[in-house]
Amino acid sequence: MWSDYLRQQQKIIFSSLSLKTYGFFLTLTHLWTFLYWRNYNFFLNAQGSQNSEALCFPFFPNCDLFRIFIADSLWLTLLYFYAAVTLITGFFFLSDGQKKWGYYGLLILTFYKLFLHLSNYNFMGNYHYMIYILSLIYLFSPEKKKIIALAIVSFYLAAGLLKINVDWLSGAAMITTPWLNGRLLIYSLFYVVFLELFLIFGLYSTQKWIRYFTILQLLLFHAFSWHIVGFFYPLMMFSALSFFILQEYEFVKKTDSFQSLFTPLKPIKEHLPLILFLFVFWGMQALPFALSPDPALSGSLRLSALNMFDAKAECHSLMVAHRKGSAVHLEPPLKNLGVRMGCDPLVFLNQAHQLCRKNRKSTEFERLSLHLFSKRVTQHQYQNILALDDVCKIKNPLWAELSGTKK
Amino acid sequence: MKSILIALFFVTIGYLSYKANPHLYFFERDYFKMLTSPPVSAPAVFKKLDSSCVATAQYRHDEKRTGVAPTSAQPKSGVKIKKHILPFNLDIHSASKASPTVDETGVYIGNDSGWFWKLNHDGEKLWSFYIPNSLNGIHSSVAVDDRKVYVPTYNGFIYALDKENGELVWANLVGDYIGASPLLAGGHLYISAETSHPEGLLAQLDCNTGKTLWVSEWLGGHSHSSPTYDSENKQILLGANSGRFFSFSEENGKTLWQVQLKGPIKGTASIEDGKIFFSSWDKNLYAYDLKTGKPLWETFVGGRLQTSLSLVPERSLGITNTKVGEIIGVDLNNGEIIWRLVHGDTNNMFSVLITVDPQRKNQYLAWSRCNVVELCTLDAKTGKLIQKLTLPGSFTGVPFAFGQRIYISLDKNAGLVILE
Repeated sequence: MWSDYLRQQQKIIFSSLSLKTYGFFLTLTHLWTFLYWRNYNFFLNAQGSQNSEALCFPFFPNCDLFRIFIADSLWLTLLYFYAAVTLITGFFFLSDGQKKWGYYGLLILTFYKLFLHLSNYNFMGNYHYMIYILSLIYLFSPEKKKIIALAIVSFYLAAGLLKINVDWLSGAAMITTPWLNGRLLIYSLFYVVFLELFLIFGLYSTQKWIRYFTILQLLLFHAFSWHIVGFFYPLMMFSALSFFILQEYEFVKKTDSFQSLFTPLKPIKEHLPLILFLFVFWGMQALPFALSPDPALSGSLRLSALNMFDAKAECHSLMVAHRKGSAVHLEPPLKNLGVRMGCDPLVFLNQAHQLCRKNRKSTEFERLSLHLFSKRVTQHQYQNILALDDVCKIKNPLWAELSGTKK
Repeated sequence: MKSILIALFFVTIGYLSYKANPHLYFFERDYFKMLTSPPVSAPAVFKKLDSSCVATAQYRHDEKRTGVAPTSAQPKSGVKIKKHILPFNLDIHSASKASPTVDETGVYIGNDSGWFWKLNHDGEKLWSFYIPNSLNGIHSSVAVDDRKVYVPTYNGFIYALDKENGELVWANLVGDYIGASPLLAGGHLYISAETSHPEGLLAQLDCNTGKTLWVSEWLGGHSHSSPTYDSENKQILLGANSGRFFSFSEENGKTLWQVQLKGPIKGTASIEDGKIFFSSWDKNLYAYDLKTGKPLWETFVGGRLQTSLSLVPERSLGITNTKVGEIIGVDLNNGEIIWRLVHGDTNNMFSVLITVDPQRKNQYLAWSRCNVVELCTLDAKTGKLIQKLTLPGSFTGVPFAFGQRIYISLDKNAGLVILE
């Protein structure tokens, strides 16, 4: 049954030039990922047994214990294997005779990357989140073209909504000094919000020049961001956006019609996958707002949603080991983790859990309390994000953040 | 409808863009600079322990920072070393910047490697609290009320500990560093903190919950001096390294008056009879009207002054060390120097302790470092030297009087001495 379903998906993909080629571009995202992880030895520094820190996704607690059992050389081999599968898959997508192996290659790459990714919270990032969604739609969903188009538009819309705040619009959320500054930068940041919330619908325009203009705007936006966020994010987005360029090619060649991207949702019954996507995607974006007092300051509660450069946080923690007859205020061992993770409650919880593990056998050790205070850099008032009297009693960091936030 | 929604969107974005001041923000790694006034911190609460918030002991003995020990403290001239506790300050500065604070329940003292202890009056350890991440450890002399001890440290936190067992009650990160001593007055806790760029701030905290009730405006420089309380005019007074001296409203932290001097103000101000006295690195001693902030007199003393003027009760007399190697007595009415005791210790930046002289009626003793390792006892009225005692090491902090004893924390690993 599964094999039939997969064969059906391949049929859909390989009957369209744009979808087939888009498979190649999705494969390219794995090459960018390899280069990003290999760059400055990032992957091995995070995974290697010498440096392996307790940074774990909440659904894979104590991941560092698993990581240290794998030798550094094996981690590196696994990474190069990833690169090799990427190159072979890319080749299959380009060759007509072996194209079905391209499909299976992308499927393997997606789950293989997920395995590597989930073994370390250090690898979290928006760029992966979006590509996973696009890949899953590409591999498994019916109405691929419509849903991929809708997904990309939804990404920008969600990102635009997150950016309606003083942090983004003032430039306070910038992680480095951009080329533009002063009022010019503020107008540019305003324009990004306008682009993501309004101009983005230009991708659905019946007017060719509006669609071209919108694609160009998006490409320029990501090209400009290169000097701020580095090479990886823009390359991932170029690959994702290639979908619309490939579609335009098909429109010109008249091998596809505009209707393949956009049709009215009525009758609803005929577009259930589309409706389901909208429901699931926007539900996931809403989740952090429902659970957290400020999603920009949360960690695991934000895993389901986009995590844009919409606000920069500053924070301080108070981790106290209570021992018999004394107490010690401990400094969390990890610092300078970057903009997204520096104030992530999950990072502090992970480190606290590691300390709990280390002290489990000590007779002097009574409990470990953890408090985390964060605020957006533009705010005056700190919020108590975590208030846990005995962090060692909490089994999973996901629930810890939920209970800590409620306090 | 569609047009109204679009217009509303633009108005919102436009407003946010307008609020975003491009001159304040971004690129600055130091985020404090983005804020026009200091951020308001929140406390981590560990247990509920309500106390009176009335000091049983604190830096310079009282909220007016007079440097005068209560009449129950009556150490005699001619004291000797009763006990010497080793070791003590071991780490970065190796200096006894924190002075001991002593009340009926024991001796509370921190050191520059981040350890804080409660000792009994004979110097035996009762409990400890350790802050290994505190750069330069504890520089502050702590404040104590009936149930809690308030410990500011150089990691920017102030901790409230249970006096009984050392358990953490609450902690609050007020700034980047705290070198000054806290003030317990008017039912609140005050602390001046430093921030890294540097600007500095004063915060009022609820002593039971640790909650920040207000923060002052930026001080424009580090705040090495500790706050002083004027109960009559409901104001908190504080100097800063920016050379500005502030009066803040007790109620909301708004600036009531301020003066600008030519040099940093590092010493803690002291209050008597509607006047406030403080020193500056501009080598002068100053007196201002407490209510209006009008200048009353200034006296050139010489040397970068960072001591506090200790005020001898009912004598209109202030005593301080100078950096030109002398202890001086100053007429508080006009700033005239009444007497001088030359000791030659030009690195002397230490304030003087005043106690009742139990051997002479209505007379006071002044206790001060008068050479690197020497503690001098003077007749407060005349400045006449009564005793010179050689200690096992130099000291940076201020002696603290309790009962018939004097407690002094010594530099490096020279320990803590109890004199009687």
